[in-house]
Amino acid sequence: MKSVIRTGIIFALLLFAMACSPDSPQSTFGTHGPVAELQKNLFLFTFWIAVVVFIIVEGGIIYLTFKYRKKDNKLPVQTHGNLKLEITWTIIPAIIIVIIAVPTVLAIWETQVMPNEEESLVVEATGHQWWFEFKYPTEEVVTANELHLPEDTDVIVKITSQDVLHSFWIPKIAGKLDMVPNHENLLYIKADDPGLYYGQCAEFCGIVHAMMRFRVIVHTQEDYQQWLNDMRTPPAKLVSGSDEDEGRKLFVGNCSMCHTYDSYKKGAYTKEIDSQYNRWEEWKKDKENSAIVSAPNLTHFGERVTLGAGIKENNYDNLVKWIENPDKIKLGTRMKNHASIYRDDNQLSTEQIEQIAKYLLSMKPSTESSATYNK
Amino acid sequence: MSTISKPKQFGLPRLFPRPMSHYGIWSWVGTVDHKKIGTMYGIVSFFWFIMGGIEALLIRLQLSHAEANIIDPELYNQLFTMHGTTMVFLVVMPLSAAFFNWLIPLQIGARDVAFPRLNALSLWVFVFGSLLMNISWFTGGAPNGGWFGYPPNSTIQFNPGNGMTYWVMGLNVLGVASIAAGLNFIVTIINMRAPGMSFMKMPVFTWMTFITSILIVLALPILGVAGIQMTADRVYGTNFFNSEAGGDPIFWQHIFWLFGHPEVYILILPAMGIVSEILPTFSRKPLFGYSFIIFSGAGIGFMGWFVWSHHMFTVGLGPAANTAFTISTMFIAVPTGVKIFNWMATLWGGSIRLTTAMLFSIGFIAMFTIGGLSGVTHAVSPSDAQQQDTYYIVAHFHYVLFGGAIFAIFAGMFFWWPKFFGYFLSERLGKLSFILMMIGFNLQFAPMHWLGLNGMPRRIYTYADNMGWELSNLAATIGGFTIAIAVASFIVNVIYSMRNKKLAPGDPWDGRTLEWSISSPPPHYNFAKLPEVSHIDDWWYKKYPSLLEGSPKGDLTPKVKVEDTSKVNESDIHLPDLSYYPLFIGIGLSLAALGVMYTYALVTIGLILVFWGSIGWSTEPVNEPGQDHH
Repeated sequence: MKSVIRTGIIFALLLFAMACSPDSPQSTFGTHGPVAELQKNLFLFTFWIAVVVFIIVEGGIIYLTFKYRKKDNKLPVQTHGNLKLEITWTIIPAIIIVIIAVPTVLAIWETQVMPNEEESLVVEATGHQWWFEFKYPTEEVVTANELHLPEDTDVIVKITSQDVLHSFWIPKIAGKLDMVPNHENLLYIKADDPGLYYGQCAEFCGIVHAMMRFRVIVHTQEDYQQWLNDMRTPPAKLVSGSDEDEGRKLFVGNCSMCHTYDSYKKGAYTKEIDSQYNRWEEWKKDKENSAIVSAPNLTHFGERVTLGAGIKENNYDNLVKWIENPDKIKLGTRMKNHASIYRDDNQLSTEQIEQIAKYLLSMKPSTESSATYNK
Repeated sequence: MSTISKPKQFGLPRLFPRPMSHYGIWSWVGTVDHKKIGTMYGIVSFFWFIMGGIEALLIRLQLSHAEANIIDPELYNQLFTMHGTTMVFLVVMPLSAAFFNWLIPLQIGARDVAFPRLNALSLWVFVFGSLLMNISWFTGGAPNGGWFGYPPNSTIQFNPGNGMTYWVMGLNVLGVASIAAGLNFIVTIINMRAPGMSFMKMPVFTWMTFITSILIVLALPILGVAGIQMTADRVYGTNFFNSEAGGDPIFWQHIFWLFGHPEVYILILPAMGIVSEILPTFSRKPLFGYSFIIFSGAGIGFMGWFVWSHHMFTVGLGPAANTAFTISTMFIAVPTGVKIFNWMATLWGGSIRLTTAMLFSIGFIAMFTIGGLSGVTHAVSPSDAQQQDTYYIVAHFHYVLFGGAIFAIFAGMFFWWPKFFGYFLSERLGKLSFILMMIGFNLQFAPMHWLGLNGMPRRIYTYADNMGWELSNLAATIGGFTIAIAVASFIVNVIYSMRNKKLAPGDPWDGRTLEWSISSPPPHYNFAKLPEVSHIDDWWYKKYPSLLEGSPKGDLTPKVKVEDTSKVNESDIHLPDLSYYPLFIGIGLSLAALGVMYTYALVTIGLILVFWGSIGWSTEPVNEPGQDHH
């Protein structure tokens, strides 16, 4: 018996060791926003009630099983039931449920009623197989796989999808909301602290659902304004004949049909919306062979933290590997399946790939010139 | 039999002679006997249990560590799709059907179900439907859109190839089997109870079967509608769910879960029935609060219709819908809680024998409670926004469906095996299976709670190594393989017990209900003389009539013995003869469904078989003239 208890304790400790660590990047306990905070507190409230019930029921089962083990052949008292008792244990759970239901219903309305759109930052998040597009309609800025937010600001995320169902989820800031084609969902979020946060698609969306992730970068107010400014600032001019410049030519020739890279220009925002729509229509016509697909906007790609939708750190080595064969990092991307550079007759040399990588990493707002326009 | 000549009946010319023997392979192929059908249901669905288990192990292998490269993403998607589909439609439902088949006639004192040939039809449609779905592994890829088949990812536009068509055609075919079985058991339970057995004197398992059957008959047609729409979308180019042409993928979610939530209770109510039989038997006292258990079961079955959108809390239905479905979902915890307390009260004051069946039943209450409590935590829809589509949900429903349904099914197998087959399963090996399964189960699924709360989404084939998910995933994988060993020990148990038969008497556990009043295994006609019933647990009170006058004094010797069948004159007993027509229809339906994907020639052959079977069936006399009737 003692050994059973000892094993039980070790087992429980082992489970506890694996338990919730607020530090891990997608922990729903290490919250940095009021919505996630409210959701966590509501969970913990329910959880502790459940723990009490758990101890009573499981303790009761174990106690009864050992207490009433068969000792002799005497027949136990033949009780058929007890109406009072049974009514009691019908009513008590009902009361517990009411106690949980009240704060729950309040929280539903608190989290799902949107603040005034005029006074909030509006971001449009669109799911694509298998990456995230983020647009700032008022600011006329567009980016992909990295959501930049100012701290302490009410944000309304307008969520939709271009193709299949996805789900928009930043565990440390707010619970998820599905991305549904032909439908716009609204999610209220607010980030408390500057920092880097993880996001991930949570609705099964096809072959590389596992690799549809994104990062959220929360800035101080000034940094956020700087970021907006940067997004409207062209990159420095490349030295003619440099690897970067050769890479630029290759990029424009081979990649720019699907990847926009110059959304710092005035008017680029509406153009990008049209382009993504046209790419989508083009791909829909012939999903097998279309040379054009919707693809992430790469403006100032050199500033990005990750590549492949939050999959690998954005550095030279990873980028070369990615361009060489995206399938080795993320099996099933549209890029590998549709881009002409992966056809046998049109392959790039290693040197050319390296030049493209160098060019992409050079895509940063120039420190000399300033924003081309201001909103 | 009488020699009066009857009017000549239309009959199809017979290609094969009607099987008449009660022994040998043809007696199984052509059988209409509920016991043989139950056995075949059990064997086939246990086979799929092993297949679904292997699929689960491969999934666990791939997830055992971060960035693993054991299974590629396409195969991984096929594995989790087929694991879910298999365990729901090819394991828990038909394993429950195995118990319905075996037990309902025995528990209500009948010689067979109301429609024996329809029963055989259910079996064969299920068998060939399950094969249909699984041959997709060899014809270019198994279904890969999830057991829930959400469009647009499951539409032909995003999911070309035949995988999801196999899935939806398989469900269409399996639905036929389930609906036929559901109707059969409703009619059987309403009409064929022994004299005196009013509804409130029925065994609890029979009651739960009755409620489950009603749910099946009401819920499966909804899946049928969704299935036909999806088939039309995929094969004939309609646009019910095709978002590119303005179809609505959320529409699918509503109909799927309007079926899918009652389905959850279709899976768990039979399990509740099983433990409600076992707990009183091994506590040696009646079930505490029989009518509360029955009505809470009916309440669960009824309320199960009003909660479907809790599967869709994050779809964006708006605060009003989320409020309504939050409240309805929470209140389903009340009847469930009532059952748990009643089971505990059944143990209370009892004289408990910890047989393997009893251990699995107590394990059921303990594990199901955990699943129920985590269920309440995500009925709270605001915090469910963090848990939806994470491993927290995976943990929850495995506590309900594995810790619940599968534990109860194992309990039922150990409990009724001696009744079904006339010999005991080894208790020693059985207890080993229980301990291994209990450890393995908790090691696999408890850490999934933490995984979900630490932000690990479901249905991902890989994860990065900096997420803090590795230890829990490794534990889960080890747990999974421990369960595999537990299941292997059960298979060894069956083989061992079959070879070293420890014969069982008719009433080995001092049982309470009618199935224990006849010999083990039961004769093919079940009851030589139909019993008359005057109490709940009628057989118990027939044995110990003194209990009806209050608690007993002195020793308890049974006043009646198990029915002695050695002197029964079998020629007085009329049972329907065998028929191979249900088999034809079963094969025909699946061939026609297969043909939808490939060629109309196959559809034609399939439909010819179906019509031939139907006409042959309806013109075939129940008993061959001039034969001895059994």
